[in-house]
Amino acid sequence: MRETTFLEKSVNIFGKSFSYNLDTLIFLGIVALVVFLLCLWLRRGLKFFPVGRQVVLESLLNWFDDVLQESLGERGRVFLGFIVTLFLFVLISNWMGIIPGFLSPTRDINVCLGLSIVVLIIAHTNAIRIKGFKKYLKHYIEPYWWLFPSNIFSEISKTLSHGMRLFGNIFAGGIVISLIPSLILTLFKLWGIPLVVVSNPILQAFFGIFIGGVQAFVFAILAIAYISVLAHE
Amino acid sequence: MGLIITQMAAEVAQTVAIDANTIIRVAALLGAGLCMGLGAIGPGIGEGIVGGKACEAMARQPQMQGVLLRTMLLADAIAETTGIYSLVIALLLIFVVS
Repeated sequence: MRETTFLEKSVNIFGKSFSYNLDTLIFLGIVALVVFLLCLWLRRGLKFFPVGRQVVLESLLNWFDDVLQESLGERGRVFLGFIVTLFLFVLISNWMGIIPGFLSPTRDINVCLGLSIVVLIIAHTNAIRIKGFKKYLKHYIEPYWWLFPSNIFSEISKTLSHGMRLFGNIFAGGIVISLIPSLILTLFKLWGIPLVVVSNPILQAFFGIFIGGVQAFVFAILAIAYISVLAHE
Repeated sequence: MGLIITQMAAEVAQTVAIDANTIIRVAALLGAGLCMGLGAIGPGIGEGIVGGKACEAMARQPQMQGVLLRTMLLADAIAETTGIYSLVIALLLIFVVS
């Protein structure tokens, strides 16, 4: 199965061997390029009264702006660029698996955990900036000092589940998409070919477009939630 | 049930030569199936409750639909977490252990 295997290469840096997945890197580069070009295309020819693609852009930005203002207040608007970029990046990488020959880079656990670690760093930096270092440290021993290990564990598990959720959904979707056609072919032999032709677009639409869109949305919303939970006094 | 399985395994082992690796593989695959099946119960119930309550709330106040939909999706994602954990463990059992 192509969905579950990676093109693993290794490289030697300072005498230590590091391994990386070449196909994931290539697809990530393509996704970054697509997001960049999409945003360049969306912002061309802005008008005071929006028409065409500007409506899409403005509704997207407005929507995230509203959510940020609701949860973080006026100072939360700093994160608008970051959150929308995160959303578009995850969305394009989830939807990339639909194109034949392409695979979503988010089916690699390293990409998902990397993105969630970026969110973790930003949330903690923001908390230190807003509350000050002492108050930030104090929230680890609240409400009681002996809850310190539990607080540390909750921070770790938040990031872990944030990344694992995206990875699990996309990876499981990829497995189901690749498994069901072969299951139908083994059950019905050659008579199953029309069934595969019918079922494949439905599977792609559900697991690729619907689940991919929902997960990208959930990833961005959860990033906002984690940032705002840490920033609250 | 465990006794029956051990007995069956012992009977099979007498007729067909089974080495340790095969037993480990069987246990891992069985564990993956059990893990996924049992782990899907909780998120299923939870998401059902969330969806049902959101439908009730939307029927009562249709003008709040946007906020309710957003909150529902977020709650679904949180309820899904344990299911995703069991999925990850099942994948580990299938691809790493066996």
